[in-house]
Amino acid sequence: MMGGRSKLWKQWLAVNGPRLLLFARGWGKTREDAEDLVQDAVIKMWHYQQEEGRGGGPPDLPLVFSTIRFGGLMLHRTAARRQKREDSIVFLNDFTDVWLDPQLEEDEEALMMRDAVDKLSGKLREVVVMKIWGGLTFGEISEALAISPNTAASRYRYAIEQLGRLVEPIREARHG
Amino acid sequence: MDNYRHFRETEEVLSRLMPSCGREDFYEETCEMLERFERKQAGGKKRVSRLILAGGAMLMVGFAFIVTDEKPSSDGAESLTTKAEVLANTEYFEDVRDLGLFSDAEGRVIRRVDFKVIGERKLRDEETGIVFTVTEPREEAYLLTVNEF
Repeated sequence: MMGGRSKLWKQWLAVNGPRLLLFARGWGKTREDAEDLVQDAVIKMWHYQQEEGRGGGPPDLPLVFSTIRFGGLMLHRTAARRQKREDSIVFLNDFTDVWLDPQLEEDEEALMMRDAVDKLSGKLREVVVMKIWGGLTFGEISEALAISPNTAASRYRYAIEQLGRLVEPIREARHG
Repeated sequence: MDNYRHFRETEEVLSRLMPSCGREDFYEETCEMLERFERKQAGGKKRVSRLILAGGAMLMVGFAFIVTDEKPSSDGAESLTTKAEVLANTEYFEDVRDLGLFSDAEGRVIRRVDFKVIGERKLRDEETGIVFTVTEPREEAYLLTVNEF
């Protein structure tokens, strides 16, 4: 039977799990990598939050994003994982259940945008993910990434401009 | 103005995408892990609870000896003072109540969860060596901002 504290964390994970997996996807090349990163981060956060004075409840999102990011950096340095990543390149198409879904199936523009997000550099994509789907402010993003709020805002602005240019052909075709 | 419109249009298209839910197994595995951690912690607290009973009983016995055997002090007042060393200081949730969704003054959707927190201090009486625990319950509210896609 689930206790009070883990029940609260379960509710928190249900709400925030998808956005955390989306963010972690940018740091791993497989679905398993993304899940491992999120799970490791949640476990670290659990123990961190049990420390005196922290209340034991779910953590603030910026801290979780930061922890996932750090885990991703470590992941890139692990030789065993690197080999698995190289082997998994041909199976990238399996990585479809930890990504973005259009709210309407036939939304061609949204699907193009999704592909465009995938093509962004890591630095730009992580800011877009945290802002659009993580719901963080530029202040919180700057905290999570250890950059200035101005840098966070600039990266976001640049990313949106880049994304806009990538889907412009569809937009122009639509509007004549 | 044109650039601003394109910027907003791009953001609007992005908002038509939402993160995939992920595998059900992933959530189950993660929640099972957290439950294990919580049970492990609770197991530690049960051991402390048994110590409380033992320590409390010994305190009562000790107190009875002091009351029956101690001679009155010269100023006519009897007092007991205990110096205690703090061994551990922990907190855990005892009860959680989900009060559902509401809107705040800024129109944000908030989920409120009230919970009862138990603060526990494990102490050792420096004179007798008895270990006992002082529990301090309190009520707290946790507010989660709910984002919509």
